[in-house]
Amino acid sequence: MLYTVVKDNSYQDSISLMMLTTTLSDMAGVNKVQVMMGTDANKDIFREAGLLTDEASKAQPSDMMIVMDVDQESRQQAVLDAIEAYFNDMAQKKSQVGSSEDAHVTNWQDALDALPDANVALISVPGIYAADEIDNALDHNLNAFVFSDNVSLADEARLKKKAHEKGLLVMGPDCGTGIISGVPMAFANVVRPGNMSLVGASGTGIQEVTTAIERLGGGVIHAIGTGGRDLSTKVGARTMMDALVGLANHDQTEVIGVISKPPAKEVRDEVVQLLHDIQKPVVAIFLGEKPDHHEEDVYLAHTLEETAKIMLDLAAGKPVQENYYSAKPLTPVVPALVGKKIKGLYSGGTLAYEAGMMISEALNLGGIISAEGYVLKSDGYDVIDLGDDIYTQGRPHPMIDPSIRIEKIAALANDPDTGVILLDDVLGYGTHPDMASALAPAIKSAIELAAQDGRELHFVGTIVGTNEDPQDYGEQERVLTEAGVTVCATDAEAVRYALNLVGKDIQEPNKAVVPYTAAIRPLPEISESVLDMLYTKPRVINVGVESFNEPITKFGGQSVQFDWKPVAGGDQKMIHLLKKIKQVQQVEKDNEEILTAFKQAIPYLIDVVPAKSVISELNGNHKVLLHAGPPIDFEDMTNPMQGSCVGAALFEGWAENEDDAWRLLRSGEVQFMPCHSVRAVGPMGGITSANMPVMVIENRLKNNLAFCTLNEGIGKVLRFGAYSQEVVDRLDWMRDVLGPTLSAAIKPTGGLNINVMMAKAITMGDEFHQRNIAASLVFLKEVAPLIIQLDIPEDTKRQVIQFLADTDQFFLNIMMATGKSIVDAARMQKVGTIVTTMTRNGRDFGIRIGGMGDQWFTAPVNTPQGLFFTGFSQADANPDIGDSAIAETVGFGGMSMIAAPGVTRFVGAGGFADAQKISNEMMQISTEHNPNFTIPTWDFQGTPLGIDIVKVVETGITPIINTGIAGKVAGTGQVGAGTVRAPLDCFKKALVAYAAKLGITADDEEQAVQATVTV
Amino acid sequence: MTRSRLFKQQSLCNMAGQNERSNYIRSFLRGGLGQVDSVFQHSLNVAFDDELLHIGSIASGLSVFGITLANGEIEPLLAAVQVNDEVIFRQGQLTIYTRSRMFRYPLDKFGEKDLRIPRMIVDHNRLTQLTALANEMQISADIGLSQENYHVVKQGLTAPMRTGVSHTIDFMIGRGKGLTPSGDDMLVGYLSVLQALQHPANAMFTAPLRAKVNQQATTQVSRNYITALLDGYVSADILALLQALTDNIPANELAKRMHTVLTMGHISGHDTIMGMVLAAHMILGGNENGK
Repeated sequence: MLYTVVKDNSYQDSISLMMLTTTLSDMAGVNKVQVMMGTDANKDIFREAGLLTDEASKAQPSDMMIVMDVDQESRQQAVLDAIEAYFNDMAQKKSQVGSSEDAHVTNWQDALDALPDANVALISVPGIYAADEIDNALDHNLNAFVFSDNVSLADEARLKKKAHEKGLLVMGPDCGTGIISGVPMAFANVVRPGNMSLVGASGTGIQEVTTAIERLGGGVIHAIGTGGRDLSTKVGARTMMDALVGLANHDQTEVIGVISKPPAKEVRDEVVQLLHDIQKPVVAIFLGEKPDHHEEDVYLAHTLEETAKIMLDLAAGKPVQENYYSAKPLTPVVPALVGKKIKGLYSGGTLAYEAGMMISEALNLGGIISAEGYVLKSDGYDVIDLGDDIYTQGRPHPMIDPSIRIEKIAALANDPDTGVILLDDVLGYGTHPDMASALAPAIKSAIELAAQDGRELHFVGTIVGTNEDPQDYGEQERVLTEAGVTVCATDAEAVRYALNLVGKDIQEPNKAVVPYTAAIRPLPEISESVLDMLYTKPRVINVGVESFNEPITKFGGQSVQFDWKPVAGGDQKMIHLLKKIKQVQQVEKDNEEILTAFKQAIPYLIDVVPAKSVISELNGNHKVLLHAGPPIDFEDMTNPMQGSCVGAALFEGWAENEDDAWRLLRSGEVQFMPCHSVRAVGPMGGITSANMPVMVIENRLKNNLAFCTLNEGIGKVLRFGAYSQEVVDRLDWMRDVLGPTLSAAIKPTGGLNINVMMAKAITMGDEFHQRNIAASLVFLKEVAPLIIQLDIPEDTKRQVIQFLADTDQFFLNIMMATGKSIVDAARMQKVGTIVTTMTRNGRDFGIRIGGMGDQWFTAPVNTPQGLFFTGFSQADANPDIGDSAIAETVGFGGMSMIAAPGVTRFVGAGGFADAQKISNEMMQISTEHNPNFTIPTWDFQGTPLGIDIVKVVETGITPIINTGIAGKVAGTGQVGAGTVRAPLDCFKKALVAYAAKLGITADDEEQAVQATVTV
Repeated sequence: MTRSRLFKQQSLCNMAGQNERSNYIRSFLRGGLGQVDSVFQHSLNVAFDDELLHIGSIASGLSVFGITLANGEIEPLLAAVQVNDEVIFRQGQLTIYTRSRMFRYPLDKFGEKDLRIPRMIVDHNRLTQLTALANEMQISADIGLSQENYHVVKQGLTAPMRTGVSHTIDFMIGRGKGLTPSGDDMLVGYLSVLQALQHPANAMFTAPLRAKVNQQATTQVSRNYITALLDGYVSADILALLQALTDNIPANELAKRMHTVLTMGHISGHDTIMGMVLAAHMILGGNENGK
């Protein structure tokens, strides 16, 4: 039975997920299981494995897909528990490894702040995102070590050209291993530093040569991988040649090794000419060529072993020998094996290639092929590269996962033609912790099975590794030998040994040194960045697989972990638009203008007046109600907003009773419009009618006005959808007593400076959305003396002051009108990508951005999560509603959670650290800190200011909004308080529209791709 | 200055100053690839196949198969070096490749010190004095052999003809703890005196000892010291002590130079001097106390 679990927005790197999948596959009662991120490529793998369920097919690239085929439903929970335990364990290790919190970052800027003199980016993100991250690395003047594969050849050529022009190196893509200044990078072996360096287009080729050098006593200071396609005509050996020029200028490097498959002639000629230009001895192997001479200081090897041995002699200052191969066979023929076939089961691609080449040459089998993982398939002699794509789609590489080799060994053991099985055991960081023990049982049973059948079956192996590797060469050798494997020192030796067993041999000709007659050219200028990389220990921004940090720091390098997630959740269309918009320099200047308007706002509370006196739309012949959020019709409103309308209709005297009010509202006679359209805002339902008193804020930056109703206190209140007589009575009192009293007190002063009150209150623990008690008291402190002086009945004064003293959230509405006055002043310039409005009507979350003026971009709202009053629960919560998100729009509320750590507890068991985490997260989507409102608990940093849709879409982080929670049934009122996230889609829609305004469309993505391909 | 230029300067800063090399290393150090074999508190050994090169400081003394670095130069090397690091000797330059950086020493520019054991006319009074001082310093209390074993050695070395040289060598080689076992050190001390005197007994030891060394009967470090001795060379401090056994050197130098030898290794110096004392006994024909 198939079960599917999709974990939203839960990015993990593919190596972790593959290792997890391997672990889960071994669980009892689990027939099949696969855990992968929801990319299209991964869905194809699921489809082929028969695991692509409907749920999985709907997953986004940043969602984790878990599909399992289990015997009983109860096993499903066991698998999920195992997954949780795996990630907990990983998190535990993370916290142990990263002793300081700042060792982990989530964006380039933070990475560079954490490691300002970084010189290498180690990139191991999924292939489709790799090109962008290489671009980013180069833009930050970092050399790129690219572990990722599946980068297009066109991108590779472009990026390497760009790197060359900037004096940088792109090592890779698909560069699995390397050594920089003695520091093992990615899947690398621990090799002692010395006076040799290598440049190689082959990962396992580099590993075979460097480990052989180590075991023979020599040392390697640099092994630079170029990626397998560097010597293609299109790329033109760009990285190899730049790296060679670097090594020519690196004093410690006295001998250089070059490893590649045979390149196109013109590329080969150019590389070889450069090798001659370098005034250091070079050993080159173009695997597949059989050289018959050396060319004066450029020594040409036939096998990887020979490469290592010539390098070692040159390094020790000894003469190069004519022949590095023993004249006699390595072992006598085993008569029972004569006529039997050799089968190679390799995890290392280049080792397989070398084996195929040697067997083919020895037996004239027609050379190397590349078909379905086979590098040799001729006359019963098979050599398979089990690391080929067809074996690694959706399963870990055979250097990590022994299962494919175990299967193949079992199959070959049954084949009476098989005489010798060749295999490799590649050690080093990142590979299986004990491959020898994992393969040993299969090897033993294969030998036994053959013996029972009256046959001889021999295993010959080679271990690519050193005694310093985490697995320990000596121990692996012991286990394999005990299992019955003849362990040879190198792959070439193993292949020859196998040939000898079946009665064949290889003869290598002597090679003389032929003089080089062409002119020696001066070397190109070396770049300072490459030189810096060669002369110092690497300082690495590790983008992706976290385990790569371990060898770097252990061997003297430095690293900072970039916990990478796909940009824009992997949405290719968004990635394209973001990239294009970021190239438009004017956007930053435009945003600067909006932010300046935010920061220079001068809001004053100047009066409290009936709404109709300042909002002309409420003063016409029609019945009009203002509501919160983007436009919505009465029928579409959620129940509490409708309830508010009922209350307002009763308050305005449009209906005698509730039933009449409902009828009136449903009749279409009442016109609805958003508060935001008429310079107003309203909390929760936001329902504002003609005779409700509103506060008037004047922003003296642009002299614009903004309005908001007065806060009614808590409990059964209109804004939460209550409409009982008690509610209407309070509204009457506010109209007749509270409003006029405040007006009389405030108006003669010429206005109260709101910035001053807020700057004080934020240092007293308010964030102005969930918590306003300090600001409300500061307001009361200002207004109480004014009220006392009024010539009105004492009882009225007492009532008003008592109401203000009792209403902790009174200032919320003042702040809202203030926020509205700030954004409206900024909105006068219709530019940029800064969010200028966020609001919700219970159905839709709507935003507006600078550059798109009054246009709304909406998406369905989320429902707040939080704490509930006694008798209520999450089930009673109405979806997100209210204009109060104006607070977050201007940087208060959830954005400034750290100012009011106590409020964090609405998020759950939040503490101070959570509050800090939330504000730090919100800074990732904000543009700067607002110097007007500094937060003591945040080390006096200002509130986060200027939510940028570019950053929101890029990071997938949406604003978090502190909010009250309305009961979903009209008349219930407030049921709790909590937090809610803005939905990402409205930001994406705004981005698309803004891009279109700039003339950028998603269509030019294809054109762009085509353009790159034809370059 | 850019980082890379700075680094270049750092790695090439080791120029010959008060650096010295033993003339014995010429006989084996011909170039090639080696590895750091062992690292001690004040010095290290590099192995080129089976041959060792000792790198010490002036304070630690010039080893017969070694070099010494000027004051202040050994510390950064010792801080960086690890067993198994690559070492290359080529064109007169010794380069050590550590994990953090490389160190390069132009050995051809080092001052060369002659560590051949000279033919000397040993003053018998000085031999008696050596024995008396050893007694006074209670050196025998701090040797690496048990009383019982020391007794066997003493019998063998003071009357080599009687007990049989091969038997004594078999007993002594590799006996005791440490990189240079006590029996070996005693043999080196003993034979260095016999060689200096051109004592006829010396010749009896040469062939069986070389055979024993070739059988790899003791540690590599010790084999190197014994081979050097058989080739006629000893470390500078032992040589200085041997020279103090002649009347060319003021008598008050003897105790001073004995103290210097005593600082060699953990108890190697004690064992070496006890070997010399036993040679004195044999030559003087007296008992252990020289009476």
